[in-house]
Amino acid sequence: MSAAVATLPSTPGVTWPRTLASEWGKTWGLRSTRWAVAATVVLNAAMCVLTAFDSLVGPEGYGYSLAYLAAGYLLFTQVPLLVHGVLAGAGEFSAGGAPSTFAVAPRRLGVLTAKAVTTAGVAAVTGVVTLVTSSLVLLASPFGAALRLGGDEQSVRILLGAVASLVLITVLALAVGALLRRPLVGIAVMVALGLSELALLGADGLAQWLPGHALVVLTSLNDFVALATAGSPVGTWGGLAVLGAWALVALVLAGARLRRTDV
Amino acid sequence: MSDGVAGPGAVALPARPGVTATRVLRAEWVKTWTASATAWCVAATVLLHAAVALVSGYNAAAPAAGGLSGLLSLGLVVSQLPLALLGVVVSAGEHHDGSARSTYLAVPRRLPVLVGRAATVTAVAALAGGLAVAAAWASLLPFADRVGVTLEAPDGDLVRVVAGTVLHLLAVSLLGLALGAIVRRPAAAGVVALVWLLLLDQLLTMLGSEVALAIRAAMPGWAGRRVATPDEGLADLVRAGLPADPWQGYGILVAWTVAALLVAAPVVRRSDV
Amino acid sequence: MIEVADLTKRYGSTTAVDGLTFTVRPGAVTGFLGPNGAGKSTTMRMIVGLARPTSGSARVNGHAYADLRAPLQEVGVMLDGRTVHPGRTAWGHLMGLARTHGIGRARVQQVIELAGLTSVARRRVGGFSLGMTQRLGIAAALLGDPPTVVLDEPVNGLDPDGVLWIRGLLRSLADDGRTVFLSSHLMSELAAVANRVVVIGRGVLLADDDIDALVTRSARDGVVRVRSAEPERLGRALAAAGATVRPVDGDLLEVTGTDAGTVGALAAELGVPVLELGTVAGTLEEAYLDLTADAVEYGGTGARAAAGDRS
Repeated sequence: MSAAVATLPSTPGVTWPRTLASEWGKTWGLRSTRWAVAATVVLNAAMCVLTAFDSLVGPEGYGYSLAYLAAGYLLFTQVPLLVHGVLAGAGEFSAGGAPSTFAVAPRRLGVLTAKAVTTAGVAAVTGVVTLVTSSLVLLASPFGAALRLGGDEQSVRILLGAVASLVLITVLALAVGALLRRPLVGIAVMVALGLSELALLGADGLAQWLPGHALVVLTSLNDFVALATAGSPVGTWGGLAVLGAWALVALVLAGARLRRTDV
Repeated sequence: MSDGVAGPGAVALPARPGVTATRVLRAEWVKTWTASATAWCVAATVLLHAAVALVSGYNAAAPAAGGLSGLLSLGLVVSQLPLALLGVVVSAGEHHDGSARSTYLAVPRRLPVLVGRAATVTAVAALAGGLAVAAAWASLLPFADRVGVTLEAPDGDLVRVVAGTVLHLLAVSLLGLALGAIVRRPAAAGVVALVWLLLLDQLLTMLGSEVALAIRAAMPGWAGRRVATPDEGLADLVRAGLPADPWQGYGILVAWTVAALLVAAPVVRRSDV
Repeated sequence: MIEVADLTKRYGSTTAVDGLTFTVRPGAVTGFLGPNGAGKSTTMRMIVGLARPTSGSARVNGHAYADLRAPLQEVGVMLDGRTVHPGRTAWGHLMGLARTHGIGRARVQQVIELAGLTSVARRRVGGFSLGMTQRLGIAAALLGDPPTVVLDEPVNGLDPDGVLWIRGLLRSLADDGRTVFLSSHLMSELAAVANRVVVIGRGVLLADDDIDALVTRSARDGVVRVRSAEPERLGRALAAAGATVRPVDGDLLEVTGTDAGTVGALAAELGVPVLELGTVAGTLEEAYLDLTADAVEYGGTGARAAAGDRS
């Protein structure tokens, strides 16, 4: 009994930093988080291996760009991260954990923002580790000698753009999960939104307003970027703003639902 | 006894007691058709299938590959997903909320439940597939006068492609059912279904190497869709040196589905709930 | 009739149920008792075919549960925890079960009334209180009018009215000649309704007996409590006479190995004024605590000591 009392804080109460610390600890304590991060890293590296060891074209087909090769498959390999985002948002409701979290920290919006920051952190870590791992794998491949590491403008855009897109789309996934509260539905929606690029490649004009577009444009070679953004009001980096708007709207809706309804 | 109800007064008990295949089918049939997920998945299938036809028709500048049958089956890449997920939900959903225990208390042999669900999901997929093709056709009507949209049936392949679209949806929903029964967690099984049927196809296509395309040809999503691919599209496959026989492709999908159901059966029968 | 023979369930290296053998007979309410985590739910799930025994067998009315032709009409089962899709109505859930057995709507209506759910029968189960969920579980268990009922923690979450209702219901089922088997971790609840108890701890059978017989086996049954003006002198004399003496507090002694008459006579002989003298009657609670003393899975430190000091 006395041992427990001894560790109580000097200033009691639920503060936002404490909520954040709790969410951060909770998310990394989950097996599913570690799986999602590992799956994204391994999947992307595996795609890079397959490309570099068994390709129809040589490194010239990839513009000799290490950054492009390392980030080029993220549209698909981000899926574990999207699933993680949805589960982080919806998981607690579906597994019956929500009442305990929200009983501990009654300010629900604080919990939601803490979750969003945590998820963004997980996505950023995952993005950086993925790009580094995949780059190392590529440098060790037969392609390695021919690839340019490059601090050029294109490489910087691809690497920064990839991480920023991953962070924002994972936050969108969290918000969608918290909004829908059903993991399976949330995952289906996120896969549809994140990959809608595929189904709508033919429908110019619409694609640039979809959340998956930022990643595709930002991680492409200069030639394709010029092609994809020709006559587009969104432009190269504007896709991030579009994606950010999606994430923000979804977060606001999720927040409204949290405040209104009983957990 | 004092209540007079639980005791000898019990009414409407069957003259011939027992769990029969027909009774289990009726129970699963009603459960599935009255679940809100079913309506949502059917609606999503129809809307997605029609939306793709609509967008393609709207954008049609040159004659679409495969003509009408091409436009009617183009949406299958995405419209198959809600039905695969429906299969997952029908078999895995009850494990998520604990109601599987009620179901298996009533039918302790368990396999009749799987069979009943398979029959029901097949019927739902047939309905959804029929509606999807009809909706796609209706969504093309406004563009009938545009270049490239041909609403009159081309020679030969329309019947196969339309039937193939529905058949593909049937098999995919059963594949989802089997996956849900094996994995038993709806979110996990759903991810497996999405990855297997959609992402893997796209990834392998993107890789484009011979090995990747050979693997893709053996995957259920890509192989199964060949039965719903118009003759023109199949001819393209032949030119690219890829396997193109529509019914052989469907056979691969059916083989995967049967194999998955065979794996699911002992899992359903033996696992603790 | 439920016959459990050498039933064992292992999860990896953990043995949840270890060689249980007991029989639950018709015409009585048999309680299934044990601390949380003792293996009660696992045993019940094995009896009704939801979990596979690692070894051993469980038979209901002479058959393995999976071999019953019409299980709902042989055994009514109510399990602990969620067993209903939250999106369904009580009516929909019961109809779903009834259809598998060809049981008619009139019977569904009948058990809904019996369980007192008429007013909420068409509402989503997701919005039910714990008490209403328990009532729905009981309605489902009685659906097939079964000769045997198995109920896991049926009293959990019921209001006092509900507790009285279920006690009456269980007794009337047993009076009908049915087999009633219910688990609880609350001794007091079982004491109010059961004729027999099966006690387990850490998966092992600790007792299988009539409730009355169990009480008299309590270690505290027959302990003599004596409060006197000179406890030390009296205590020495009692010990010299072969009794075991335990000072409790101040002037109170607890004496075993003798009876109240002997203690009184000895005190009179010594001239020690006796302020209070009596014999402790064992309770089921105490018998239970004695049995499970070593088998409490998640005992807090001191909990046992506190329980042991209770007079």
